[in-house]
Amino acid sequence: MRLRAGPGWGWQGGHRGVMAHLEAMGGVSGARQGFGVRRLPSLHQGSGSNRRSPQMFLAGPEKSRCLCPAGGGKPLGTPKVIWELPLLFPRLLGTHIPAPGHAKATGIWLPGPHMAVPLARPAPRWALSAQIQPRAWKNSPGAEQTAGTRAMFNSCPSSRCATGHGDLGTLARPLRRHLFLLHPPNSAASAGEELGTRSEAPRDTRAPIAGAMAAQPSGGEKPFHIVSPVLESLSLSQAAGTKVYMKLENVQPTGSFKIRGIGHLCQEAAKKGCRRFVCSSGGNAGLAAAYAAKKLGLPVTVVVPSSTGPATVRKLEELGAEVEVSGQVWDEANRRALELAQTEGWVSVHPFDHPSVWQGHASLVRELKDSLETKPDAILLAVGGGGLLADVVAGLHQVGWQDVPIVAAETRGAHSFHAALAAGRLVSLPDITSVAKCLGAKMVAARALECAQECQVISQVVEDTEAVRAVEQFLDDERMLVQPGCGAALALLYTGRLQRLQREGRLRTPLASVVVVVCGGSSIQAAQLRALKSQLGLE
Amino acid sequence: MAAQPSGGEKPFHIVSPVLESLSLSQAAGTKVYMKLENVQPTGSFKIRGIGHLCQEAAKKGCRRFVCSSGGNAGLAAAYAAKKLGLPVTVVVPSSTGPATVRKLEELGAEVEVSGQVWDEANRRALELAQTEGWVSVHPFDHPSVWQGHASLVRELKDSLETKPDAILLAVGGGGLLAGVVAGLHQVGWQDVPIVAAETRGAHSFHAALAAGRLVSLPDITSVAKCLGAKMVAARALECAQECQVISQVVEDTEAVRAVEQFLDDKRMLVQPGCGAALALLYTGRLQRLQREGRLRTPLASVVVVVCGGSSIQAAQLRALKSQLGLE
Repeated sequence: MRLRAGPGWGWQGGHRGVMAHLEAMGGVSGARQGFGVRRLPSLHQGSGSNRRSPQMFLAGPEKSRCLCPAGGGKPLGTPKVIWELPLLFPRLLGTHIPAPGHAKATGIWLPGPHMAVPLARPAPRWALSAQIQPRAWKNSPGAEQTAGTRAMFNSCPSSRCATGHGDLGTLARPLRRHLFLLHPPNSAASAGEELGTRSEAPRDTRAPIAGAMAAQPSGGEKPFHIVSPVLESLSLSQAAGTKVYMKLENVQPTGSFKIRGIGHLCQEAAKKGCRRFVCSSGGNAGLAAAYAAKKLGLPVTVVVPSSTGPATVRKLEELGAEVEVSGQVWDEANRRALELAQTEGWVSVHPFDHPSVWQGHASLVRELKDSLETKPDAILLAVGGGGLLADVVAGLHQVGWQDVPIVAAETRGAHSFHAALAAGRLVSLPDITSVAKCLGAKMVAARALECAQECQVISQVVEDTEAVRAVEQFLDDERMLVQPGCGAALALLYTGRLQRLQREGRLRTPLASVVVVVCGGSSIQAAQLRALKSQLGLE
Repeated sequence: MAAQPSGGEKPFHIVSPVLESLSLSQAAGTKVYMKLENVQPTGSFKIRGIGHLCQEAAKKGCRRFVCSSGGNAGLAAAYAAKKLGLPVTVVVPSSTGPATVRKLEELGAEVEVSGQVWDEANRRALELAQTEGWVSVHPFDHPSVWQGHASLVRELKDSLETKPDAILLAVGGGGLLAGVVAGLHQVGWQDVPIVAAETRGAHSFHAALAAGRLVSLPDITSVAKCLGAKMVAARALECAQECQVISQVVEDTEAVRAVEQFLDDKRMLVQPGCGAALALLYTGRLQRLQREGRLRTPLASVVVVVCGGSSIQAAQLRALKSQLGLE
């Protein structure tokens, strides 16, 4: 099988070459059988839509705008040299071939000038693109005007492909080039791997090409979080009996992973012209909202329950937030925050129950995919309101790791997720009796329950004592102090839960590696740890 | 991303985060960025230089490493050797705690106890390194180690938008200082002043500057054993002439208090040696230096290298505090 990745018009063998390539990669799943099988006789004879007058293609910048996800791109012009003639026939050359400068931005190596997709041209029934679902680009600058266009973008059928935007689909040559360059057929990973259908989870972010840094979902704007380190922990690995990688979210600004999702939400809201943020969390989410608002230069009001400590109130005020105390527990503060958010231009920042928050957190899994060479055998995390769980699941879908099991830890007394799973529907705990107040949501988000059906989520409940002991042991082993909520996830490793799950057969044996999300949390100090220990009666 | 000097081979250290610290900024009166070296593998910045040295030696066909440090440098050497798949012998003085010896053995190193202080252990290590194919890994006094540490400044250049007005770090043997100076030269920041902190009782650099030549302290009387080199490297003294290096000595109590305050502010536990650099911010040394005119006023931003260190635990911190008579 010869793959010609150079320029030229070799269309005759195009789809057959693609099929051969896909076969070499391990076959095509049933749903994709139609791809590449249809012939396009009209293309060779130049009949049908290709016979339309070129005026449509040379309509000028306002009519035919490039829909490159990178944005911009020169509009179609008159072909100057013979090899630019194919520009007149977008069907022949396929979709969108970004200019070299754009190629770098999108990360796909597809040389050639930009080619605009003409507007208002539905794909003919016999056309190849009809086989694959075309979808319009949400992020492109002219998207709202070209809503009727059948953009000829399709996803790469390889389940290993991390390209979020699939500029591959209608014609074989770009697809072959993509496959040839990014998914070589003789790589060990492709042997026997079936090309499944890609997940249809909404993706308005760009997943990175292998080796690149995690792409920014907010269209190139610098996010507020940092790429947190992934470190192998010897002590945790010994305790758990497998290689344990720590995703250190406690070194984020404001000390926890919340800045990812809440920063993303605030950036999106600011773009839409928000004037003020309102957040109803007295914990890490409130700090993250205050930090994001400060970075954006917008005012923020944080409504906290009266149970919040003065240290946290002081930290919020230091970050420039306006603090309002209302209610005894978080739910009452949340109600007040939603009241305030009714004001025109004020945006409510929910700590965990918002799709933008989940999208923002999903960057965590993309970074994991960049850092780790092999897929982990499990991901361990703590569940409070379910925001981290929801976005880790979203991230797993994006990078194609849907089969990685998640072990979700909670403390007894804040186990809203476990109760919801047991009841099969959302339940509200009567009260939060655990010392891990950071996990204290009486009712978990609905999305978290859906996640348990989409992916394999194993819910585990640990005792307060185990969580606090884990915090203490982690401080001694890794010299980092985390909140008891994070200690719940660490307790899974220190108390042998992993081995127990392996014995019960719920986790694979042996486990090659696991990742624990060290969510961090800033409302903890050495004195508080001592107080917790004495409160729980630990030495 | 920071360019790698070792020709494209993946280094053993990670690109550590640079975070702005509100609490430190308030204490110092200027924007303070922390370069978090305590989240490196093995818990300190040593993996940069020693990893670089070991990679170079392995390329030249080394068969075994010998390191003479019972602290972070030994752990870094053991980690690098394990990654390279080569054996390593770590010679430690008898004053090294059993926890460190255990950590070294967990990393697969062969531990040999020799001598009372580091200098005697170093002599034994140099003897062993005479063997054919065995390479001695000096904790701080080697150009490759300084080259490896220089990656720290390259990462700073990538992360920060503007040049900092000062870089604060702790000096033990002078390896970090030499590496930072080399890095400053590489990125063109030669005019950035460095404030080098030491604890009284381990102030070999300060004594050398005062005397104008290398001097050897009679003994290490500070609790910050990680800074415990009786004689600083010669290169560190040269650095003081190439760049503007302001040497500061802090008390043990200030260093330990800084460690405690940093644990409360940032929830990270560091060794007292690192606490010396943090004490500069917590005890108002920066403002004092500004008043004396040795640092610019006002300072736009400073960077403090949180060197970290793995030989510290909560119980040890309490013991240090009681030893020094702090509450």
